[in-house]
Amino acid sequence: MQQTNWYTLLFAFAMSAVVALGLTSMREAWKDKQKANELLFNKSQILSSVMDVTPDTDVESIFDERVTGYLVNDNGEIGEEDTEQALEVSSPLELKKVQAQEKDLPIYLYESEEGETKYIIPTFGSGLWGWISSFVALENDKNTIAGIAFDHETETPGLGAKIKDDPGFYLDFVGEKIVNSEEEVVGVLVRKGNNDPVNNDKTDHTIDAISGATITGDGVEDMLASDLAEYREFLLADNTEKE
Amino acid sequence: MAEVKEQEVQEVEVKEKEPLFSKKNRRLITDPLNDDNPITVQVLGICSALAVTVSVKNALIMTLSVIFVLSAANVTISVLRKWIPPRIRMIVQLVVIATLVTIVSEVLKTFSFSAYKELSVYIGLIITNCIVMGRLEAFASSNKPWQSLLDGFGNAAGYGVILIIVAFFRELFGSGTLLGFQIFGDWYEPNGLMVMSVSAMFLVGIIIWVQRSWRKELVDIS
Repeated sequence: MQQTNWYTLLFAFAMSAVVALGLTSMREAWKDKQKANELLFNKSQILSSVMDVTPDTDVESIFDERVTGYLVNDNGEIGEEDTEQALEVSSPLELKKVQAQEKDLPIYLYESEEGETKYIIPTFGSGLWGWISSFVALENDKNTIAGIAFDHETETPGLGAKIKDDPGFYLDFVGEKIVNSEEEVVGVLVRKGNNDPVNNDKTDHTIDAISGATITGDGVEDMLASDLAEYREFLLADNTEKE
Repeated sequence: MAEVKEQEVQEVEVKEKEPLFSKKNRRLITDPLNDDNPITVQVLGICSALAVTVSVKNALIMTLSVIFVLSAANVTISVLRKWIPPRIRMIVQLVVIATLVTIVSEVLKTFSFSAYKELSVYIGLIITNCIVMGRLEAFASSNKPWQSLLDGFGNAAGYGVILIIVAFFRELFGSGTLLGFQIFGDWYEPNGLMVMSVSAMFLVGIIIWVQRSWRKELVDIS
């Protein structure tokens, strides 16, 4: 079949138009539903940092009952309760914008059944292939990690994706301190060969890295150090009496 | 892209009222499972075979995704084959694959968010899987839609079989589990090498060796 340049051009143009229109309209039609799904997922991630969330967990009602969101300003002062706005700026990409514009940062308070308060801080960083994010839950001392829930965009399954899937990695964080004795917010280092693979030492600010996922591990380390440091004033302020 | 076999370039001649699963058509599915396997004989798709075979679950998800994408892409290209300008056919093939993968991911994102979270990491691996483009170029662009569907399904299944075999050994010896369930007791010290990508290379090599000892005719053709 003999084909002219015009035919080739026309075909390319028509194909691009059909595909672009089709995908855009599909996306527009489903935008709201996808956003609602993402919101629910974020809520379940927040809960995952302080409790076990299974597919049967009623995320929506537990979240409403136990979690409240706030915004923290540069001086470490917590504003009025505004869970909606906190959730709005906690999704991975929004969080980066808020940090860049030096606006107030989101934080969550979790009230356990026994009446203990835990603080949950969202973080966002880069892995090997795409973004990584986490919700870090801190005990009442605003220093000891109570739990952490990771998420990632496209880390390799079985390697970098283990930050989210492998309890051996994320449970290692529990009990580690994020503020050192010089009152610096150092986060938690992800290192190989720290002579503490089972993590008995909870004061060294270090956990064991994943083999084959060095860059993702470095990303986790950088993310925690830089994003938790944004909350420095809040973490160091002695305002535990805050209701 | 590996060499294209002659029989595939020629249109598969379909006589009138040829049964849907004639012997020739059945071979389109069964050949890639063994004598024309995309991984062990054509040696394609090695990259993703190394990446996702740490656990059987990952391998299964990848297999199902590739079966869908490859079958659908094969049919689409086959339907359009008379109109696609030869000079831009590769770009057209790529657009078809990328569109299909995007549709799958958007549908999941809307209707099954947890499955979307599981699958989104595989999307990049599917688009760049050379088996997909290899079949579009070698088969679908010169054959009818039904045959292309069978060929796509067969090749994706042949790819998946090897993936699952490799994942079986890697998960069993690398973590002592299968599909997440504990198989070996506490006495078993997991073999760290099996978790690394290199072990997939060894395993694929062993499979190729075993297959060629059994099917001597495969020895010199690839």
